[in-house]
Parts: sequence; C-alpha cells; structure tokens
Amino acid sequence: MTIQSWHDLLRWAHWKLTGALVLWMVSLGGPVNANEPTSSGVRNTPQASPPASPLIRLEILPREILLDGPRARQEVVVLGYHQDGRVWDWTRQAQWAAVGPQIRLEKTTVYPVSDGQSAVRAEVGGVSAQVPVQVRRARAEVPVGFKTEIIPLLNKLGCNQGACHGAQYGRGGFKLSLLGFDPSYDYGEIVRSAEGRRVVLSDPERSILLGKPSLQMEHGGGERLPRGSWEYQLLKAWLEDGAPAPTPQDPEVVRLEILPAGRSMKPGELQQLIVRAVWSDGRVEDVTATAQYDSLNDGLARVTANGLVQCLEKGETYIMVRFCGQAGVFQVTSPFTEQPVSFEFQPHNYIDELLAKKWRSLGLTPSPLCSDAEFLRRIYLDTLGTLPTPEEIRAFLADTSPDKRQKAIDRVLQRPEYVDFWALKWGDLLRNNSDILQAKGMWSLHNWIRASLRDNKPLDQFVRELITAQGSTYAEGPANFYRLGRTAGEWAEVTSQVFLGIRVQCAQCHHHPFEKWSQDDYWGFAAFFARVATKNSQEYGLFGRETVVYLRPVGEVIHPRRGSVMAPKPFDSPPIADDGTDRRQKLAEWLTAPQNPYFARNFANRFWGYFMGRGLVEPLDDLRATNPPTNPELLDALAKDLVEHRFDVKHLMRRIMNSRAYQLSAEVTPGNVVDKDNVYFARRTVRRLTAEQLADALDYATGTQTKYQGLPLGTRAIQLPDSSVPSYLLDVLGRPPRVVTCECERSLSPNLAAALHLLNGDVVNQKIRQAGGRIDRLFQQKKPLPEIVEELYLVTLCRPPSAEEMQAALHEMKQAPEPRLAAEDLLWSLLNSRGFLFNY
Amino acid sequence: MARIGCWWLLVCLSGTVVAQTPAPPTFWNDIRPIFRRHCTVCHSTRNLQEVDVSGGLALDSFEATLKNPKKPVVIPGKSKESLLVQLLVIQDPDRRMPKGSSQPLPKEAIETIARWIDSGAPEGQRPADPIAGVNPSPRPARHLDVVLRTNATPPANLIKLAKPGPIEMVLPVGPLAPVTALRFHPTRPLLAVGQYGRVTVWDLAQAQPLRLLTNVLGAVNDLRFSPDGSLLAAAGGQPSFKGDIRVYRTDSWELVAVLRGHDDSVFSVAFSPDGKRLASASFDKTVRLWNLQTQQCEGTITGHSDFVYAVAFSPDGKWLASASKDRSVKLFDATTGKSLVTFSGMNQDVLALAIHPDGKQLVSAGMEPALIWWSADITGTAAQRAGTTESSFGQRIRNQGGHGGAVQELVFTPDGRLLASASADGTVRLWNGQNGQPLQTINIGSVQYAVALRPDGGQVAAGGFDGLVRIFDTKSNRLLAYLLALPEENGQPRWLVYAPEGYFHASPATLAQVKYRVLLQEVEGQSVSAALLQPDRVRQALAGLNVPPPFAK
Repeated sequence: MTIQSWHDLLRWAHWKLTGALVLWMVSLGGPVNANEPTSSGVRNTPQASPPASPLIRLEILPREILLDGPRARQEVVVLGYHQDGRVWDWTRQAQWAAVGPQIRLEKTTVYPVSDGQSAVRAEVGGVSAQVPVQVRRARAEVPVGFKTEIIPLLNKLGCNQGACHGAQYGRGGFKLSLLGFDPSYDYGEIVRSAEGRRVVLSDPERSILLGKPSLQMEHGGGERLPRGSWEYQLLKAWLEDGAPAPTPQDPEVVRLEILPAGRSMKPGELQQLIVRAVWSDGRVEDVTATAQYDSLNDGLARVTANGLVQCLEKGETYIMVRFCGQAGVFQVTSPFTEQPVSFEFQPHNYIDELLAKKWRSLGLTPSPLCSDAEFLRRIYLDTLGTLPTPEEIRAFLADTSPDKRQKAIDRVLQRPEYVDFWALKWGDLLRNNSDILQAKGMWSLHNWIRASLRDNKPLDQFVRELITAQGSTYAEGPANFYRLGRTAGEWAEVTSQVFLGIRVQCAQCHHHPFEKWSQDDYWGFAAFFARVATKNSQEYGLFGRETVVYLRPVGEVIHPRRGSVMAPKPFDSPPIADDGTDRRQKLAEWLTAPQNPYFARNFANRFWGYFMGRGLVEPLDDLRATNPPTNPELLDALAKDLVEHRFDVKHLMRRIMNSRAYQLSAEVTPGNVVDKDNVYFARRTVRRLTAEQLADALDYATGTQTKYQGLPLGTRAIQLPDSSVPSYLLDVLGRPPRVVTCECERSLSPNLAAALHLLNGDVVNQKIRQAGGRIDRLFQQKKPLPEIVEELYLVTLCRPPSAEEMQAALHEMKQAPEPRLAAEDLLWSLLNSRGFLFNY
Repeated sequence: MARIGCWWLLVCLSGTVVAQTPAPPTFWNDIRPIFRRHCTVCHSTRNLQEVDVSGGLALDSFEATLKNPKKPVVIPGKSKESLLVQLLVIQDPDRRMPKGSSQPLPKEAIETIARWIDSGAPEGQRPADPIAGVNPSPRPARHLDVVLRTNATPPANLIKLAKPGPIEMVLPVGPLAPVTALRFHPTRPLLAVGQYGRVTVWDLAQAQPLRLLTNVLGAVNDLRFSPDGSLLAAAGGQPSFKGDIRVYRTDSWELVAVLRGHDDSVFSVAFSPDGKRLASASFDKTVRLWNLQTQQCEGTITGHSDFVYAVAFSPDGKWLASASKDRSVKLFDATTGKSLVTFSGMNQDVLALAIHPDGKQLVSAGMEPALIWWSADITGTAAQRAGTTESSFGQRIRNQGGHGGAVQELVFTPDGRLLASASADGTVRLWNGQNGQPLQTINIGSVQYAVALRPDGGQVAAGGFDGLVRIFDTKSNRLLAYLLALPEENGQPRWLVYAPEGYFHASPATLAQVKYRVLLQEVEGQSVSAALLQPDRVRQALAGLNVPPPFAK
C-alpha cells in the first residue's frame, strides 16, 4: 500500500460507519453497548425499611414442626403480608413465644424439652400467627450419628475442604475425604488411625479433635469451634457415646427443602432461610445451622453462614444451598423497576409469552423488532453459517407479504448449507478429528453426520445410533463415538455431558461438590459401557488396521472405593436389571425416553443458546440444580415442544426463529439496559462470527477462495470435516481443537492475535486485492461506482448503504488517485467493522 | 512512610495504655492466647529447626519468647523498640506478621501485646495443664454398656427363661480405652497392657493384675521390657504437644526415669541389646537415643520428614531401623546416628517394622498391608564396600500379602521362628519367622493395634480398638481368655478376666457392676455368678489347659 492510501486508511477508520479500530477492541471485551451502569466496587447496601402499608397477616415457616429426638431443633421464620402486596421477613423483629412447656425458644430456634404437643407463636404489631410443634423422644438416648451429624458438622466447619484436611495429602498428617463424601474413611482417620491419636474416648475433652479446632492447642486452621459452642458439644457428645461408627444402614439425604423457595426483594432487604433435609428413613431434619450457603452472584445477593440472605442489587440470582451431597437453590428476585412496566409486545408463540412474563415480573422492556436486513443476515448466519447474497437480500427487502419472515425461515432450513453448518456443530460435539480417528474414521463419522442431517434424523434416533454403535470405525460412522474415550468411565462422561448436559466427571473420584452426583452415580452410569471393547483389526474389514468396536460377553465396572460390582444405573433411576443383552440399548432407551428430564432439556438449551447467543442455562452444557435456567418455564416448554415433535430439530429451530424474541433488535434500550448480560433475552445478544463463519464471510466478501489442505478448492470453512485441517486464521479466531468435550472449546473471546490478523495481516489485504477477486471483478466489469459501493455493502453488512454512506464513499473514490484503491479501502474498512464481524 | 505510620500507631497505643489499664497483662494469661490464635502454629518450639517455618523464633513459652537465641524480639519496657511489635504494625504486607494473612492482627491484640511489653513483660501464673484451661473430667457423663460374650449356655430352668442361650456379661463402663501397647515379660508370666492414661501389668499365672501404673503422661503407644526384664519402658505422651518415655523397675514398679524432649507423642521405643540405651520414635518426626545411666538424650536423628512410627535396635546393637509416614524405612548407625540406607518404594505410610533376631532380615508393613522382607545384612555391606563379595543388602526379599488392612505392629519371637502381625483388618496373623509363609489367621473383628508374643512362642496377645486384650494359643489358634482393665474408681481396682467358656475372675468393684443377659434379656445373677466366678478355671484357661464347660451335669 502506498503512503497515500495509509492516510486514506486512517480516514476510513475514523469514518462514522465503522469506528472499527476502536470498536473492535472495545466491543470484543463485552456486550456491544458499553454505556450500561456499572455497579462494581463499593456496595454498602443499607438495610431496606419495612413496608409502610399495614400488615395484614403473618405466616410462620415451617407450617408445622416435629421435633424428634433430644438434639432436634427447628429454626423458624415469620413472613408478613402487607396491604400493598409486599412481603417482609419479620423474623428478627417479631415477638416470639413458646406455647406450653414442651419446648423452649432461643431467639428463633425451637428446642425440645419434653414430649407432647405445643406451638410457637409470633406477633408483630398486634398481628399474630402460630404453628403447632410436636415433640417426640425429647429425652431418649439417641447416640450421635457420625454420618448424619458429625460429617455435616465437619463440612460446615470447613475441616474437610480442599485447602485443609480435605487436601490430597491432608494437613498436618490428618487427612479427611474431600467434603466428607467418604464417611467410613473419615471415621477411620479420626478415630482409629495412629492408634487413636486424635481422640480419647475415655476422656473426650483430652482429644486433639476437640483441643485443636477450639484453639486450646495450636491449630493451623485457627479457631473452628469455640469451646462450649454447640458444635463443640455435639462433637464431644459423639465421643462420649463411644464415637459410634457409620454403618451401611445409615440414612442418606434424599432432598432438601428450602423455605421460602424464593422471594421478590428490594435491594437491602433481608430474608432468613430455613433448610430442611429429608432423609431416606423419612425423617425431616432442620439443617439450617449446618447447611452451606453460597450466592451464585455476589453482586446481586449475599448470604451469611447461617442462611441470612441480603438482596444487594436489582436483578435475579440464586443462593445455592448444600448439605450432605444434596443441593438446592433459593431464588432472589429484585425487579429492575418499581413501577409495573407496560409495553407493546405481540407474542408469536409460547416463547414470547413466557419471556414477556419474566420481563414483566422483572420490569424489563423488550427492544423493538430488528430490520428486515438484520433479520435475513441473522437467520442465514444462525442456520447456515453463511451470508445471504445481494440478490437474496434485494428480493427479501422487496417482498411485501406479511409472512415473508416465516417463509424465509422455511427456506433457509431447506438450504444445503444447513447440512454443512450443523455437521460442523456435531463434529465439534462428537470431536471429529483425524488425529484421533484417522482420516478414514473421521470421514466415516462426518459422512454419517451429514447423512443424518440431510434426512433430518430425529435427535433421539441420532443419539441411539451413536450409543449402540459397533463395528469398524472406518465403515460405521457412529462407531467412532467409542473412540472419544477408552474406558467405560470416559464413555459415561462423554455421554452424560453431550446428551444430558451433566458434568459428572468430578464424581469419578469424589461426590460432585455442588451436585447430588455421587461416585455411585458415576460408576453406575459407567456400568452401561462395561462390556464395550475396542480392538485393532488387521484382517477384519475392508480397509484393515481399523478399530473395531465390539461387545464382550462379560465385563463389569468396579466401584473404586468399595470394590463392588456396579449394576448399570441411569441417573435418578433405579438400577436396570441385566438380562444379558446389550446394556447400551437400555441406556439409549432411557436417554431418549420422552420422560427423561435431562435429554430434551439439554438439547433445548443448546439450540436455544446457538440461536439466541446465550443459553437459558450457561454454560450450555452444565445443567444442574444449582445452575438454574434464567427462565425455567421456557426451558421446560422448549423441552416439551421438542419431545412432542418427536425430537425434530428443525421444528425447534423454526419455533425459535419464528418467535418475536428471536427477531428483536440488538439495540440496548433504557428499558433493558439494566440486564447487562441480556440473560432475559429482552434484546438480541450480539456475538462475534464464529471462526468458520468469519473465514467464509471473508472469502465471500472478497470474492476469493481459501484452499484447505487435503480438500478440493471451493471447500468452505463450514464444510471442513476435521479440526486438524491446518488454518492459522481459523485457529486464531477460536476454532475448537476438538480435544475435550465441552462447548467452551469454541472461543469467541477477543484476542490480540485475531484483531491484528484481521486489521494488519496480509491475508485480508491480499484477498481484497486478489486478481479475480470481487473488487477486481467489479472493476473489470466496469461497473458504475455506486453499484460497486452497494455491492460491497451487501456482501459484508448485508444491507444497502444509506444515502449518506453512499455519498461519503463516492466522495472518497473521487478523491482517491484511483477509484479502485478507494474501493479496496472501503472493503477493508467494512471487513473490519462491527457490522461485518458480528452477528446481531 | 511505613515507619512513620507504625510509630504513629504506637504512640496512639501507648496513649490508650495510660488511659485505661488496670492490671498489666501477663504472658500466660493474656499473651499466650493471642499467640496461640495467630502465631504459634509456625513459631513453636517444635518448628525451631525448620527455619523456613519458624524463622528460628518460638513463642509458645515464656522463656522462648523472651530468650530468642538469634536476637531478642521483646525488650521489656520498650514495646516500640521490640521487634515483635514492629513486625505486627509494619505497613508492608509482605513483611508484616502474621505471614500469609492479608489482615494485620486485631488492634486490641496489638495493644495488649504492647501493653504487656511496656509493663515489663511479666510472666504471670503458668497454667498447670498443657491443654490450657481444660480440667479433664474424671469420667464421661454417662457410661455405655460393654457387652462381653461367652459361650456358656445355662439350662433354661436355671435362669427362668423359656429359651436357653449364651450368657452375656454387661458392664456399664464404656467406652473402653483402646489397647495401644502390649508386651510379655521376657522371663516372668507378666503381660503389660497400655491404654490411654495407664499401664496394667497382668500376672497371667494368677489371672489378675499385678500393678496399675497411672503416672504416665497420656497416651501409651508402646511398651518394652529391657532384655533382662528388670525395666519396663512406656512410650507415649500428649499428641501434638509433647511426648516422653517413662522407665519403671519391674520389681518395685517404681518410676526411675522420665525421658523428656520429644515435642509430640512417642510412638515406639526400643532397648539396646545390652539394656543400656533406648531409642524412641515420635510424631515429632525424630528418632532419639537415650542413655539410661545418665537419663540424657544422646542424639536426635532427623532423617525422616514425617511421623516416625516404629524403631528397633539390631541384635548386635550397632544399628537402628525406623519406619515413618514418609513412606520409608531407614537404617541408622546406633553410635553416630548417621544414615546407613533408606528402604523406599512404598506408596503409603510404613507403620510397623521388626528386625529378625538373626540381624539379617527386616520386615516392614503399614498402610500397604503386604509384609515386605528386606535384606539387612550389614556385614555383607562391609564386605561389598571392600569389594570382595556381592551383597543383597537393602534388597526386597519378598512381599507377603495376606492382610486386608493397614498393619499396625510386627513382632518376632526371640528365637526368630515366629512373626506376628496386628492389623486394622481386625485380624492377627502368625507367620513363619524363617521363610515368611503364613501360618495362622486369627479373626477378631475389631481393629487391632498391638500384638505381643510370649517369648516361647506359645501364646499371642492382641489388643485394639474395642479395649479388650485377647490371648490365643499359637498352635491351635484357640482363644484362651479376655483381659479387661479399667481405671480405679474411689481407690477400688476394677478389672475382669474371663475365658470364652464363661469362667471369669473380677475385682469386687467390677463384680458388683456385672449384669447377665441371655438373648438380650437380663437374667438373675446369683446362680450364674456361682457357676462362672471361678478364678482357678480362668487360670487354667490362661495356662492353655482345656476347661470343661460350665453348667455341665
């Protein structure tokens, strides 16, 4: 380039159309609009004051109380319902009283005194409420349970966390299982190891188990249980009981009850939670004091170690509650506006209705509909990974029929690029990569995926074929699924993550820290693959030397800790009887059964995320109780829709694209600016084009073709079957290497190399100037300058230039020593503009 | 800047001192609790050698705090000039104490320390008990029932029950302290039993305790008689605080020596073959050598990097072997303390070791339950060093599997023919002492910590978590008797010994507490007691004789 055109370049760069240089760097860092209010830094939220309107009634939670056993306790909470509809947690201000001598109250905790029927009463300004309390076995001799009482205590005190005695080698010679998921190991360490060094059963207070964490002796972890605290007393009582060991008959926690389940709160408002554990023996126990609390978003709400929640900012988040391997959430909602919002929003389908419901509850207003040009570009990119041609754009813009968007959606779903683009997506999910599968395996999987997409094979059938595949990996495409791992455990992990959105890896070695999945779940699931084996064949098959996936007649999965054989067991379901047939068949049946709560939700969330730029659950492939969707009803409805339409993916895509929500503008409005990350979808989520979309769009806009190694010229990036095809551009733009099974492998995050490559790299400049390229062709054909300008706009931004833009461009061209140089600069600027680089 | 800041703070602190102090703080009363909370995890006497942890400064006693060998950190009367305070108030978080904490000490704590120094750093009253402030309750609030099962089945009419069943004796004395050490006397029919807070010396010929030794520090982790039987060494201590070895004369049971110095409980002790020296292994990661004449520590061996669980002298007294949580067994020169060789390759803690009486082999085991036999022929090494012969010194001879849980203790008979092992899998196993082959497996059920072999190899005693000592005949594998000893109550001895057949012998105080049960129903005691309380039968059983079943017609 000449010096002169460098000047031009800079001028172009500052041209209001683009602002490319700056915006590229800025906009990559986050949502396009940077003018949202920042709330970082200080948050010294003052406590909110109670509603001024009169109190109508009180409600005590829980609604009835059973205190069973001498150490039973129950936290109580009282909610006030006010005339203006507000609810207020009066727990700390209410006058509490025990009705009858069977119980005693300490602040807001009820303790048993003697057996019988009693009640707890709360009063606030003349309004009162009471709940019955039944006391049983108040004076019974109930030994302290190690698994049911001591392990929760160690969890709460943090003894067994990863940084302390739960570390791989423990701390100070004392090791506990991480987060207490192996009670019998912990029991051995505490009571029996080193000749019982840590406990003195005949004189419990001599035990270093008590002396250290109460800081009567030096303790690296500091004071964890002050001497005389109830935690100390409980640990001591357990020792006095002779330190009874855990037994296989000990109950498990089957679920948690969190009261209240959720609250709409104002910033500053407090809410005390009550957590009750339901044990497998039917007992319901108040575990408010020993449960662990974490806010999923510290900026929106915080929570104390005792379960007192404070809402900090407007928005919606969850408090995660964990106890003994079970987890649950409490929803904190703080509407963005005080006044009810009203907006015009004609729903197209249930998606819009459910989103609008959420917007109204949170005080959000949706952005207006996007323009037709934006819409067309959007559905092309989302469905085909391809930009529409100038002819298609002109035709669509000229169409005046009211259902033209609907028809356009139907059209794109029938286009051949549909197969290319979604084969790429499935290639990512199934990690199609010739480094692992060899070229023949890679092609065989790729061709199978393409064929499935061409036939619009229902998802359940697609997955069934993968799961139950066997035979040569060169001949049987789906059999390559079994090259994603080598062990039953690895196959279980991939199956669970891709098809169910459940990340179960942690449970291989220990209970999932934030979920209910235990080692039993992991190994029970792995047992479905116990008999799958692979062998290298030299004589078998057409090609020789391929891997053959086959079933062995025998083979079991052994629980690593217990050493027992695991029966195949789907998540949340009883084990499946083994009748000698292929266990994977049963797994596939369970996976794809309409009532499977995970399968349809997983794919509904993924496809929602692919089209909307963000999942209802994020990350897309991490569905769990403690990572709730931002609109649970919508996720359920999408899943139901998918099931009802027999797992027809195109139907789901059509449904999403036809929704008004999908067609909203990306423009940030005052009514939805507060939702910084656009988690409620009140506008379009802007994202950068993916690596393949961008590479193809560059080729298309410059009228050139990139030659990919080993593939015929003309093969587009979205058609690449294999992530091992070398391409610096694709790599730098975040093409997934297909090495790990995770949506996170594909990166859209900004990086300097990508920015510089596009701005300063030779690739783009050469493409622009290439003989036979678009500009070259346009000038060869001696097109009039306005036509050239228009075409350049249509092939990049997919819209005609505005009159102003046209004028400015023509002006530059006339100024330039050669119009062609100016046209090149214009194209360069367009290629580096937000309007080209982003999907909006 | 930092300095000005800290002086300013100190001036303010001094100001408050004048304004509001009634009594000056003292070390033990006010300062020690602050140090314990914030400082002494690192700055303790036990960490003095690990300079990167303690910086060579200990704050866990008054003496150590004031007499830091490197440089005084406290200048009584001058808090501003005392390094201790300076390092607490310094602004630079990298230099400020406590290290690794983003927060400085609470203002009140610094204030108290400054006030203490300014008032001359008085010591105050040193608390008597090491576990500060805990007055050990003499007994737990409630007692659990200890159930002793027998094979004695009284006729139904005798106990007025419809269905006959075996007798159970129930004693409300639980939980029993686990048995952590056992040793037979080399010549007399005595068995020493160690439990938390006491050593019971049983006279097996009389089937009753000879002596109860309670003047121990806390846990009793090992017991050894001297080769001539004149002394008994008891190793133990207070975990995580200090450990010692107490030496008793076996004629008068008088305490003749307390060997102090270990900073954690002592887990193992061994006499040198000449009976003049002791070696001890402790959780403080050291092995120490003691001269029994002078009662002084002759040397501290610091070669292990973690708890040392076991120590043994070679039969010629020239070298020592030790086993550690650091997954190694090490051999040391018994005179110089120099490391000779390290046996490694284990993946988990080594808890037990025993040297074969021929001095050429050594057996170790631990969390990995296989018994590893090593060649320990030192003479071979000397030859090898001279380049004359090949040597297998330090080689594994064999791995002998069998146990299903950690092996806690290993012991040979003096003639080396028999090896016994106690394990957390609830068994005691006997092995051929020459070739390592398994001989017997004795299933007990409860985790076994300690095992002892009678010197003639005729009996094996085992004890563990359930607090009972069991004595077996090694030939037949037959259980001969159970021993149970409790601390005295109101000056009354409490013990009970019984044979599985049902015969028992007990101290009067214990006898008064025994209840009898058949099939979980309590039965009238007098007739049962009359049939079972037969000390002679118990003595016969303990001697290995067959006793006829009780209630026989």
